Amino acid sequence: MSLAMLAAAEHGYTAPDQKIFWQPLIGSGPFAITRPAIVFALSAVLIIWLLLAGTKRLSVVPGKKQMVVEAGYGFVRNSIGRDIIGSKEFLKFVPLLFTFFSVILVNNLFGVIPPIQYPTMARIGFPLALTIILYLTYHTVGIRKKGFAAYFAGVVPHGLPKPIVPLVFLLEVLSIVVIQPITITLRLFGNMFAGHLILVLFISGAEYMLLDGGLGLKIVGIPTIVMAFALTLFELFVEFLQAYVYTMLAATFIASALADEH
Amino acid sequence: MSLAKPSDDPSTDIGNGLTEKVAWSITSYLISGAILGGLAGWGVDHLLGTHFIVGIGLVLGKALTLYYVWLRYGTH
Repeated sequence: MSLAMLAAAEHGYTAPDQKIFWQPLIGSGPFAITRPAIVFALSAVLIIWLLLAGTKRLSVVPGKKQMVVEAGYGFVRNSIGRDIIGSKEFLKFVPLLFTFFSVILVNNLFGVIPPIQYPTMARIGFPLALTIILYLTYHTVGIRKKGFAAYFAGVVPHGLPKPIVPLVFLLEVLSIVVIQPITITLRLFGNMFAGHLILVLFISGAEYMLLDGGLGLKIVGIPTIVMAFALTLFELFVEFLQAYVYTMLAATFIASALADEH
Repeated sequence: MSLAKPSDDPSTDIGNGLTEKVAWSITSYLISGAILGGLAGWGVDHLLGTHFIVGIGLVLGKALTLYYVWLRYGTH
């Protein structure tokens, strides 16, 4: 049976596409209040509550909540901030890095937590907003520390053959001014976007096969739903990983803006 | 990914952000190089009214990037 015939036989099922992400709740058009906006606001409230609850009665022997908060903060502070930026200047940036980490992690986890199940970072605007903050930060601290000309002259490593220096200069400037911020944004966005699409495809596909399909489809529907569970677990792993990667890269950008040589 | 221990003397410790960054930097260079060469080639094409130099530019940009990555990370 060819693919076209299969598709024709399955006219009852429409595969999810990017339209599933557009879910206005109040109003319409560009200023509508959408589901991701509400989820994002919810994440902010949740993070604030968690941090306040975890640090309300600080004790030397931490309770459960305090343990979680301390573990998360300690991880970002020491294994991301201090190790990458260096203990000389890292303290200034810990609040920013911890904010990135907690916001991204909570919003990503919302992608698999029912009934929310919407990873806000799958809308390009959210990672873009984070990246704009990061972008302004690392260029500002770099230029402040070294001065404008020295900051851009410092992108070329020492000891290169003379003829390729101008080319390398262009390459490096393009890299730090355009490519790096774009790649860090798209990495987070793409991971969450694709992951959510896959989950929706497997879950809605399994639902269709099991409820509306014939006997054959019902049989293959069972492995489909098993896959849906497996992919949800995989997605959970990806969500943690992306929060870590974004924060780590943010730290490396700051570190290289501060370093004597990029 | 090996994480270096932060040194005991905070005044000399600048972190290992640069070693941490290598893999990500290389990705960024590879994209940048193709864009640079492609843009240059496209510009020359635009000036001369030809259509093939953009391809040469892309390849040269990529070659430059590969050479640069090797020079920077492969020689020490």
